[in-house]
Amino acid sequence: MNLLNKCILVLLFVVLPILVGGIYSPMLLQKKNIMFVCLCKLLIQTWLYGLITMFAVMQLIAIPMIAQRTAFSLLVNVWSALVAILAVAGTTAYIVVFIKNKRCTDKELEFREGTAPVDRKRIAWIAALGVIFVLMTAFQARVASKYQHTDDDDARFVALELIAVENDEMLTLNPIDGYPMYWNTGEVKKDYTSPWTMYVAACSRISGIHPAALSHRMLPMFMIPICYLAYLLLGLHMFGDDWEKTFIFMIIVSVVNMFGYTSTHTVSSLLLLRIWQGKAVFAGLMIPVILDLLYRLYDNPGSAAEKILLFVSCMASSLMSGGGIVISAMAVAFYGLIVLIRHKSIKNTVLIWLTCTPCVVYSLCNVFWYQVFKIS
Amino acid sequence: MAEWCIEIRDMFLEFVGSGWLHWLAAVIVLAAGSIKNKYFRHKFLYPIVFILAVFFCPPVYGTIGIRFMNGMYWRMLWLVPITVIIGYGGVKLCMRCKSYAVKAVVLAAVSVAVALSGKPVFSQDNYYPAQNIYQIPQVTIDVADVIISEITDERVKPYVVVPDEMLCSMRQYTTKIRLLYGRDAYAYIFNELPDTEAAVHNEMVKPQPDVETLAKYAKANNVEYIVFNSNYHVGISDIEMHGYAYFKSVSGYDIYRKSE
Repeated sequence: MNLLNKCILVLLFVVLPILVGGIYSPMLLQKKNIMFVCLCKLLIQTWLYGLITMFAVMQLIAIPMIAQRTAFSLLVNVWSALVAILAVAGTTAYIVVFIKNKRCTDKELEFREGTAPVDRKRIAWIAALGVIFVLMTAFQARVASKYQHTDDDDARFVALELIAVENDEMLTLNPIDGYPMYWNTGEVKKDYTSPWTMYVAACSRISGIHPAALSHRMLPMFMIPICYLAYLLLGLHMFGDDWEKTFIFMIIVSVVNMFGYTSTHTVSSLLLLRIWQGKAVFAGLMIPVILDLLYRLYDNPGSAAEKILLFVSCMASSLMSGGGIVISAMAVAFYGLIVLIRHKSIKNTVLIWLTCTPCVVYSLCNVFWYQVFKIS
Repeated sequence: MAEWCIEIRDMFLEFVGSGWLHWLAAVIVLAAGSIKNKYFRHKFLYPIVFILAVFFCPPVYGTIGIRFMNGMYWRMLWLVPITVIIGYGGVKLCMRCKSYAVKAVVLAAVSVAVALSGKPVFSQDNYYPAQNIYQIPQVTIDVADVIISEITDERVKPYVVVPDEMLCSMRQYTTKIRLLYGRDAYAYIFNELPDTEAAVHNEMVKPQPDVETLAKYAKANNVEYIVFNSNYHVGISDIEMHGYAYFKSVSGYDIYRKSE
């Protein structure tokens, strides 16, 4: 693993997601507000939603390609092309957004000057909280990356990734022993409708890093901070973009996670012990993202942006695990009902429910497995 | 119905584990936040109550849980954001103080309380120094490399029998080796092994395997290599009389290769 391999990973998990996330920038920056903190928030949003969009694109193309028994290289090439197109579209959207903002600077500036924090003591306090949060996140990512944790489920997940990378075929062999197998069997049936392993394998193929090294060593380094960014966005929403409260919230969330190994099932355990597995990414990343979007929809049920993002998030959740398919649909169903009770808007409730269409489609694929995957 | 209730209770208890104080803290925050605050009640309390009501509903478990969420029904509890609720409560507590110094003290106190009431993820039980870049046992890599070095035709992937400690890691390192059985020896994808494979595994888990039986069934399954743990297995050299010849020792493991 050399510097070039690591740079490609930075491209895959930081640069490209930010560029792809640019497609959402016009609807995320509605107030034309270009204060530094707002730019920070926009950057976090585009990074997160861009990465989730990349997951969703993989889910969209992987299922039919797996069912058609295409080569793994073809999946990687098609996915790379689609991500490249989205990155170009995202970059264009950024340019448009910033040109629009320049045109309306004067009036907006008056508004901004009134809201900017001027108390130096307060700024220093917020900066200190931010530094503590960043250090805590870096510590967690570093420990999870540097030290070894053994999880027997990797016998399936990492082996599937390795088969794809080395043999150029997707879900044809039993990952456990290497025999050809029929996939409508117990645990592995879920891998067809939730091929997270193919996403990791694609990153492995592009970066040139062995899937075991990528999963165990490199992914925690990227995924743990990204998961915390999802909590950061949730905090910013809960506390009305108050960074002081949000950083205090993040420090406490970090501590709860670091001391959350009260059972192997908790979100904290999955987040910090095996973040390279699909179910852990769902628990650590997608649950805070989906909750944040649902909380936003509770406040503003008519917002189209949140509904689009929720739809994409449901698609991405389906990539990660069978649990991701069912639980994200449940979350949308529950909170849709809450919106109905609170706002009494049937139209918005139905639209919110429609955002989990991908989950319904993929769960039907799983139930009607024989009809969808005519493979013997 | 009573059986479903017991299963739900057990799943909940297993999920919470030793985290009762975290749950208690979240309940206190939810209760305190909900008093005279309709917005908080609607946004945070009701969805959680709704999720828990569905989780604890035996007919839901019986109809949806068992059929469609077999083995992952407990994951519904991920939707109860304990971490977020505790964080929210901590923020409210800190923001009651006006001075930054007092806020810092309260934040530290909350953090210590959370830490003391939980269990650390980063402990020696969970993490230990990595043995290599792949973060899998080095002995697996050493044994695999020896076998791979003998492969002349890339299309031929030898069947190998390995001790239990290598079952999960071997194919994370390479797919050039096929295992006669993997984690399925303890029920994973398939509930049980075919008879001839089970016969091999039954011998491999014994400290003193019956090498004749082992060799007989290994040969029947075209096993090319058998790997023994020299610190655990004894009397294995007799396998040389049954069609497997000593090939190499590496990192405390003896490798035998099919000779007939």
